[in-house]
Amino acid sequence: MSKIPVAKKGFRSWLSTNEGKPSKSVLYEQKYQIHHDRIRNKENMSEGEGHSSSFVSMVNPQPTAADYERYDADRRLKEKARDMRVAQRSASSSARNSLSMTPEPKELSPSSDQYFTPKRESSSGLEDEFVTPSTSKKDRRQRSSGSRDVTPLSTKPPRYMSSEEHAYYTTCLSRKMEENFTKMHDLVLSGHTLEEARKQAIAETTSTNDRSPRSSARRSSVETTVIVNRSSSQPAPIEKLNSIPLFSRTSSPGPSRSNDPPTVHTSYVDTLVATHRMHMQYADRVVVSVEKQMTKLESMKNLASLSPAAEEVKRRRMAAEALRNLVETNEQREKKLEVVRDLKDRIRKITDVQLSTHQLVSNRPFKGDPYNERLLKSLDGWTSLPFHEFDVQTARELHLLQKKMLTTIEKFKNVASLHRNNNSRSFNTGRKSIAMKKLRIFSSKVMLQIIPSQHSTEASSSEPSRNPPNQSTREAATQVSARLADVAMTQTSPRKVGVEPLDLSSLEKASLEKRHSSSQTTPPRPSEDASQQTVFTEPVVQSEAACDDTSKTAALSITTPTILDIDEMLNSIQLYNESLETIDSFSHFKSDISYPSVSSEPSVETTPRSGRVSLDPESARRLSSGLSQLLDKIKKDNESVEAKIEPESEAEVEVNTGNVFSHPPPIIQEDSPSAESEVNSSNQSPPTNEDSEVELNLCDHDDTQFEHEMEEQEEQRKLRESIQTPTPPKPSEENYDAVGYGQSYIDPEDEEDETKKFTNNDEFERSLEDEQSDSMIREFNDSADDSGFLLDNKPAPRLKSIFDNVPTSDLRSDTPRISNVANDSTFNHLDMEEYCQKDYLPEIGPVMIHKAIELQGEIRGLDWISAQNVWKPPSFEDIQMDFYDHFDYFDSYSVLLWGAVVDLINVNYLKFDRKLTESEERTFEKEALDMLEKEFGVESKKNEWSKEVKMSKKLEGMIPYEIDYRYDIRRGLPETERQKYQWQQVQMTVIADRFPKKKLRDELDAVYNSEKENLGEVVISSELEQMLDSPQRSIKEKNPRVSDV
Amino acid sequence: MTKPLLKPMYPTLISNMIAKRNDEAVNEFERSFNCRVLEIFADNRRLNVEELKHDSEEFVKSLKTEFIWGETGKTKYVPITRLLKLLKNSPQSIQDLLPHKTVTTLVKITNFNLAIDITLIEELVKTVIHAEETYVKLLPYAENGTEISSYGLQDFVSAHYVPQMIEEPERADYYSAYAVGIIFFLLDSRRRENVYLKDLLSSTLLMHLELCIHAENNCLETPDIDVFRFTVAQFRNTLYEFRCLDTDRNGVLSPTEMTFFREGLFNAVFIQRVFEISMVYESGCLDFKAFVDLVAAIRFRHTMASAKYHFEAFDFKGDGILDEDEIRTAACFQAQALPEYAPSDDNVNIDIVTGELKDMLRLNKNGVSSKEFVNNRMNSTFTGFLSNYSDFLKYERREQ
Repeated sequence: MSKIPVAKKGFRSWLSTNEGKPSKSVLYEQKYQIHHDRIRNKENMSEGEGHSSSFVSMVNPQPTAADYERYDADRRLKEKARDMRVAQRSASSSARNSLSMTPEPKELSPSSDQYFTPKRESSSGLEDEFVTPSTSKKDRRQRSSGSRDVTPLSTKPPRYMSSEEHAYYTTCLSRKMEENFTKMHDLVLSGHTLEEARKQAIAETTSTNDRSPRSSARRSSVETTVIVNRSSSQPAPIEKLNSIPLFSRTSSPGPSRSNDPPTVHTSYVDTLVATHRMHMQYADRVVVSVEKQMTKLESMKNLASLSPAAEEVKRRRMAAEALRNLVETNEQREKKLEVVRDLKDRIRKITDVQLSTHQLVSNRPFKGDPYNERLLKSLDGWTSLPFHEFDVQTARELHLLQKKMLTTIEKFKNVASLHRNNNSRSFNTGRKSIAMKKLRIFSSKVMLQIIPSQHSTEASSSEPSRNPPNQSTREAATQVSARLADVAMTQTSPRKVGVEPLDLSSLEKASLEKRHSSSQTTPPRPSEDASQQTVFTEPVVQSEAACDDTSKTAALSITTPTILDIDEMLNSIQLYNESLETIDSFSHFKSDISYPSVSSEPSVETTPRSGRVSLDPESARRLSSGLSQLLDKIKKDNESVEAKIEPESEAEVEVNTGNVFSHPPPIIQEDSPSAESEVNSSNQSPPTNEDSEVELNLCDHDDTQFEHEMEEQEEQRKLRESIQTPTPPKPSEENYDAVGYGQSYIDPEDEEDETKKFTNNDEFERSLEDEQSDSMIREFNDSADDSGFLLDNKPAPRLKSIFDNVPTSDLRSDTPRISNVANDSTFNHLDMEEYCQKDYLPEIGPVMIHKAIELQGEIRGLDWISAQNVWKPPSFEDIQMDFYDHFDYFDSYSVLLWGAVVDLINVNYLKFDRKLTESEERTFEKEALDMLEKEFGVESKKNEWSKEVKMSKKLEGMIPYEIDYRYDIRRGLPETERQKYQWQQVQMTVIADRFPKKKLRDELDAVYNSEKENLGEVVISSELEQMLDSPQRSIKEKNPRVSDV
Repeated sequence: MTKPLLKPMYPTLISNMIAKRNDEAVNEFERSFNCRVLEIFADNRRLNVEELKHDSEEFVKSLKTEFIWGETGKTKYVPITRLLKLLKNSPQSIQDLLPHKTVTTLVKITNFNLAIDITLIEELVKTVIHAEETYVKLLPYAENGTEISSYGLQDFVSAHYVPQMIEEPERADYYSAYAVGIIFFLLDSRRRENVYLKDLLSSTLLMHLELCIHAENNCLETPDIDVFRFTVAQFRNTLYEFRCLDTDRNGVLSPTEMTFFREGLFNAVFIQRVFEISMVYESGCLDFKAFVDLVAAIRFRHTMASAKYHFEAFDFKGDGILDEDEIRTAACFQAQALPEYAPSDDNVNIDIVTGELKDMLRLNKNGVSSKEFVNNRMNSTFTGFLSNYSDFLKYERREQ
């Protein structure tokens, strides 16, 4: 920071030396300084002043220590003077009292005056010599003015005065500016250009300024120049300021120097005022331009408003707009209302289902879903929303509601089936529905033996149980147990819904008793005995009613008005039951509310695995069986001599034909608990038609008889399927189950889940019973009611026993797996990737390795492409199938595996032209297995990808793309990023492979040698020629020829 | 040596092109013979490339008929089985293009049903063809068929790449020296005269160079490979930095001038060591090439080459082992080098810092060798910590 050059001797001496000289301003930076000087010079020239005035900055410099020293010296003097003054004053005993004397020294104390600001001494001659240079002149003026008009203002301490002056200046200034501006404004509006207006305004201002009596009165006698009375307390003449070119002014709004030559020393206040003025002016100028714009706009508007046509057009447009809006909103409103209605419908449905569930489960009054109620209330308001917003909102709600609906129905299904199943045991433990009540009541009279039919109950209980999502059943179970506990204690008032007009009071007591007695024990199932005078409305009735949304509420309060109707009701029980079973009421319900039905297969497409190839059950089954067949063959190939194969396959065929359905391998039957073991077992599975084809294609030694047998088998299978699956949706399931082990290739995790399910719930028993039940009932299997098994307390029988009891053909036709098919969509499909990595690789890997060892002579030096000709890994390539693409994966996998094995054996083991030794074979086998597992096995995905690409050592070191640096970050990289790096590496490797030094050198050497030979030939032949022609010239000609070459 | 003599005389001709390099005393006849051999070699190569181009075109064409659509219907994939069929009917050159290893990798990259994204194969073909073409172009500048000298590469760059630029660098020779300097540095051949063509090509650095030029020509965004800073702008920055440091305008940087390198944030002893490990002039000054090396070492600190560079710099004893003493010394200097504005709480305890650094390198009593150092993943952090203050601070405050 530049400092005011202060002479060593103090301010006074500095003043004396610097008076009249242009001082360096600290306000301006260098770039402003030039500009500033130019302006100043110009002004000065215009005023006929050659010499620029001195200039003092507003910004005071930071005092240095030296400054303080010097100032201290001054202060000492000042204090001395002050003391003298005080002494004088007290001596003269003026009007001042002692009180006023005390503050004065404080004011003067330099400690409070850190900025060297002008210190105004009271107007006595003594202090003159102690004031700072910037104030000295002003003081003089002040003093003079003070001496002239003895206002208290002038005698006041200058600090306060300056602020007042300041205020005065500003007001005055702004007033002047305003005047000027309005004048200019008027002039501009009246057609003058801005320049003209400004000039004119300035001229007027100056004249008024000159005429101003106050200013003249204020003019000090000392400073006689009229216009340029800068140090007076009045604003500088506007003309001075305005005479500065506009551009310079705006670019640097703060040239606060005084343009007042006579007053060489300007006061702090003066500069302040000047600056302020500049600011004001600048601001005004901005205002002018803004104002101008506005007026222009306004005038344009006026102009526009004057033309009636425009107005008319506008109005018409407005009207059209309004109309369109109206129409639109009407349409929209209708649509919205529709949507709202739909939503409401849904909510109502949900509520109904909830209500019915609730009634089945709890004896407390139904409160309903608070969220739904809230939603219901708010729905009406939504119509007023903007369309888009409305759309979004409703869509979201719709989604939510659908989900809710799903869960609700699920719950209801569980509860209902539970209820129905359970009614025998906990018959009187407080069913909440009116029907149950009635039932209870009547059961008090007669021991109930209503069992609709053994079959139907079984069917209904087992069928639904196939659909249990684990969670929901568990949920239901907890609910039930809670309810049971609850019920045992609080079987008190009949439910609101229940206490219908029925005249049951006489029976109440009995029913209570009954309830108590039966709550602990499980009474015999209510049998369907026509003679019994019992009204037995199964909960099924309600559940069904609940599903049927139209009659739902009515059904919930189903009552039998009189006992006379009991018979009727009794008769209708079966009907109800049947109707429940026949119509898949739930799916009906579901379709009604239009959410994707659980059992529908298309949902597979939306599973995250969709990117992978997966097979539908049928082809999966085919594949697996065919594959197992194939592997079997290969194994046999490896193990035995060719001759041995024939009888064996025949034997197998025999087994298959003789006992196609009654003799599936035992492991297959137990497939669900031992899912993992099935891979092996599948080897023995009966092959299907296609598979036999595969076999034919792949294995030349296949015989026609076998094929024939296969065909027969296939036919039988089809026949059986067609018999057993009358309904269209069934075949896939049936087929699937017919060869249930086909599923075994499915994700073992799923399998495990499944097995858990099975062990928990005695699924098998039910399935067993299922088998026993007639096919009629099996047709009703689609009923989604599924949780009936939950309360079945019988220990699950050993699987073995089940299978022992049941004819296998029946079992195979309908295994319990069916139920889960619907639940787990991915389960349905065989995931090729997983299958290949987990099951196929361990099978085929050793086979391939052995093949490679066996055929080492033939695959020597072959790449993966030609190696396929030597031995072809198993593939479905030649089979024309619908699932060609699906089998592509399998084929590709095989090709890659075989290629890898061939590569490995070529690179590491077949370098020397000899057979592998035994130890080599062993190491190769081990290495190859490791390699296959690592590169193609389950692990292959987990490998650090950057390491997958082997680079030459040099390149590894180069580490392009900071790969190594981001070792850790890389793991978190998105797949695409990784791919980029990987791609980079691939590029590098491929190029590196193409330009090995040795290869290049060999190539070059080959050229070199051939050229050498050429040259030699040429030379020799030429030599011979020359020898023949003229032996003398031969040497001469040799060289040119060579250079020719 | 004949090469430097010949070069100015026959700038486009090749001097020693024979595979053997022990032919310094070849006579005119042998030289011309070698010329001929190499020409034939290059011709053969060129023919091969042409053939490959044609074949690959055919191949890609047929590939495009044998594809399956991806999930989204945007990407085309070719399953391995179909690829195999195609390859069986393709000429050997194409078969060589897709060895099993490459195919496996491509499958992994594609990650879709054991199929390969067709674009990947296309790109691969392009890359290979480009590399082959570059190789043919490089041959005239190469020592022989396998390696190229830095001067040869410089000539190549100024002959092939500089003319491609719309905005030519101020000094083409400086630019080529800059680019070649970076290439040689990254290929870990800083002090070597030659680099193998294989390394050069497979590093794809020349491709990046081209990409950079292309991007700059078309005012595109520099591809994210800008780590390889070959653009003129980056060159200009480096040259500017060099010139700013070269206060006495003698074209080389003296140790005094280098003290102002990057605002003096660099460890003084490191800078000092830079002079010792670089090729310097008699007066002990760095020239532009050595400066480029330094800049590259700082810029590409995560590469092996840079790790080696730094290792050399911090191996004060020059015994090939980085031990605790050396680390401590460097840390001391680093602590001294803290700028005055560094907050007082950053006062470093040398013992603690040294211990930390030792841990970083898993230093035992014997210190680490260059190889171990290069293989250490923390080496870039280590070098950054010791060489300059900003990285030091970054590390110190990593937890804040």
